[in-house]
Amino acid sequence: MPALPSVSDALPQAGALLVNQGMVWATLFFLGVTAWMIGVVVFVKWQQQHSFIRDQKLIATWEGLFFAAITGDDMGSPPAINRVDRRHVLKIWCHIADDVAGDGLDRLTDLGRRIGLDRVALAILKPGRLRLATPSPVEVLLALRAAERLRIGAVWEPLKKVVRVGPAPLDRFAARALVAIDAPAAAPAILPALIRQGRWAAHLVEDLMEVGIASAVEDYAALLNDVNDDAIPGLALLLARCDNPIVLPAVRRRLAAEQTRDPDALAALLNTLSLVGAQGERKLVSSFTGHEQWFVRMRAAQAIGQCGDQRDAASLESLLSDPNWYVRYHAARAVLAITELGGSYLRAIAERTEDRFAHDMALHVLAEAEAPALR
Amino acid sequence: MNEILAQNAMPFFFFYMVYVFGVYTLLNLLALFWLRRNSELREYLLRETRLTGREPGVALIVPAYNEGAGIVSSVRSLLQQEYGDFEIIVINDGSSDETLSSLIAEFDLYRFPQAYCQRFATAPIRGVYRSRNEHRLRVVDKENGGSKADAANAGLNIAMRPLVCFMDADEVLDRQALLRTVQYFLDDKLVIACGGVLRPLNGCQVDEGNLIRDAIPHNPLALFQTIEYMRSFLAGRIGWGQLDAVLIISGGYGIFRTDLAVAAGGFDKNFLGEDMDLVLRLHKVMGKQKSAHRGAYKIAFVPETTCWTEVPETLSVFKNQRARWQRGLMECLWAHRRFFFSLRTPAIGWIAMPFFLVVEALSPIVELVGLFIIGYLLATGQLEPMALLMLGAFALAMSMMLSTTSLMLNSLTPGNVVEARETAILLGIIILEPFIYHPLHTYYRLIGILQWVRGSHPSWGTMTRSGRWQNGQ
Repeated sequence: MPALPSVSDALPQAGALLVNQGMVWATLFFLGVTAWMIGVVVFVKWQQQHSFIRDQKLIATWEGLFFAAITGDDMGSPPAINRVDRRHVLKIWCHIADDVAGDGLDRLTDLGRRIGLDRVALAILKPGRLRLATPSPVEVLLALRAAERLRIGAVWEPLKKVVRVGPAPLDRFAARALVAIDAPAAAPAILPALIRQGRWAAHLVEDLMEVGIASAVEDYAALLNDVNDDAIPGLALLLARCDNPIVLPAVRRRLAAEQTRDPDALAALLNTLSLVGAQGERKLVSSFTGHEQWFVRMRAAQAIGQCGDQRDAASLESLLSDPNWYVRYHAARAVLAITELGGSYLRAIAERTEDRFAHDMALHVLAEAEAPALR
Repeated sequence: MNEILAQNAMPFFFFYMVYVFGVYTLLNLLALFWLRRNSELREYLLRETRLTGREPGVALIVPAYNEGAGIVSSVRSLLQQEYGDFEIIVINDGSSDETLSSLIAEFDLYRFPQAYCQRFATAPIRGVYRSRNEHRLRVVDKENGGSKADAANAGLNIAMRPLVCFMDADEVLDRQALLRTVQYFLDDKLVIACGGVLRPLNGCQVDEGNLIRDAIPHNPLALFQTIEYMRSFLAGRIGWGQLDAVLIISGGYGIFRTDLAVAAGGFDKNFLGEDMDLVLRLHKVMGKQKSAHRGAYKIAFVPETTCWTEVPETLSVFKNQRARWQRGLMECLWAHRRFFFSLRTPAIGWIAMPFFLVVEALSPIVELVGLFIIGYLLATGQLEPMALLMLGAFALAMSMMLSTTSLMLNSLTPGNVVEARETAILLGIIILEPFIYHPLHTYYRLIGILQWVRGSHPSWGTMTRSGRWQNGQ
């Protein structure tokens, strides 16, 4: 009978065996995963190529029809879209629609409805119970663009949901679609998107301007009475961009309201006031020049530039010595903007002040004013 | 002792390799999923984007030290960015050549009484210039601060736009780079910083600062680096981005929120790896905010943004660069050791930092020690040559497969077309890499580790440029 190995002898052998076997299995595993990845890349490349070829074929068929629709030429009855081609045709239509305006766009939109693109978008955004595959982000995006262009009211609720909880940047496109379908009714629905955009809300506002939100500016101004402070920065920016004095009473009311305490909200309202028209608001605006947050003081200085007079000289001069660069800059610009003060007063401050920051900023802004390209 | 070595050496090296290749495979997988799901969407979004002039402003900070030969064409190239609101701030860091005079002559610069924020102490600023014909250009002339970090901080003192982009003076930037990168900030307000892909400029053709032909380099050393850049930027950084664990945004191209770059303290002049240090300090700043329930944040990576930079073509320059990078890495990991196993930033503390320490920082030492041990065990007959062969085959196969995957991922990135002939050359390079480039690279990194142990002072890196890509050559 052969002697059994002792435990201390067996352990290293077991360890070596484990490593040898482990190496084989690990190699196989990693090679398998990597080979699979390479396979996926090859498949995706093939898919892209295939999709490109199909796009080219469909462009040859549909582009002519779409252009004929834009120019108002008679094109007879359009062909039916194959089920597998629906996404591609939607893409071609969306791309062309992006570059057209006026009557041409109306005729293209009409053709889009006739060939059933609204139903394609509806199927992507509001699938029935038999959903076979989750649409890709691009498909959802195309459907959102189509909903906007074709004014598909049937997707109102799904659009609201995308604005509320959808991933970026789809929420932005859903907000566009809501406004395009019914700008006044979209007022409360787009607020989540404006809040979520935070500091970059200007980008969304531009999008919304493009789809005609300015036509419902009164409805949006009315929202100022009820919304929480966190919605104000985006909403105020939107109202400022609409540049319609009709919003001023609501802005003024909210700025003076006890409930408005958030510095971001105050700064946004002051900004709207200075951009749309702060005339006659000198007293209200001046009350914010001593605010503890620099960006509120900065916006107050900006607004004073619009509505101030020589009575503001002292407060602007003190803002010129503010610890924050932006406050000093806007205070200097405000001095320059007030007719009774102007460049000569700013130069006088630069000469008499003992504060180096005020002196430097006055000279900086004067130099900018003298070089028109830099303003 | 001998016995312990014989028993444990192979399992140690095996598990080390499993860890290294396991993490790299995971990063590759994450990059693949991301590219597959997002590349078409990103292209579509770019097409949808219309410049309104109300995009967030970006200040491009371009530190320049003795860049007289190429600074004018670099600035001309940057001025052609397809973006609404941006300004270029060139920092002439006490150059002894014609950097400043060529800019003054070309752009009709004049002294401007700039009132700037003294956010960070830097070497004294001699003057700020503005251009009569390019209102987007500012040039800061300062005394040499001894490091790129000092020059970049001077730029941060001047930058007043909400986003700030740091780059090198000798790079060529894709015309849509700003637009593509800022899109990430606009799409997700949690994004606080974004990095882009850097590619070797060697082999490309550039005319007046514009890339007219994108091609792979002819120089073998630059070819090896092409593969390395693909692996590092495409697989590595997209993957780390998906794990919310980006530790580096290359100093070659990166956009940050200005307020947070300032809050993080700007660049630290005492670091060679000032770019990694800034990102780690951003994590620190945001980690503190997170604990106060102010919301999460993201540091993103933009694979479709490209910045071309000249990579070293000679061994001496390559050695200096890599030793310097390694020193920078060691410094940062040591200085930010509190991140290790931190619960405030779990992805950083438990995944990225340990990986960077064990693999990126210490692998040269592990490999060197491994060579000695295996040699000793072989010589004393304590190691079966077959086992060594298996381990070597495993390492080789994995490194080649991972590089091949990165090369293929490159083909999924929007706008990247590598010709079949170039792909074949790169595949050949992938086969040679473990035998030629890897040992060389490891050796230079070891030198960097030794320099770090001895202690050294940061300075502007000396990178000799061939400049063959300029003016259509």
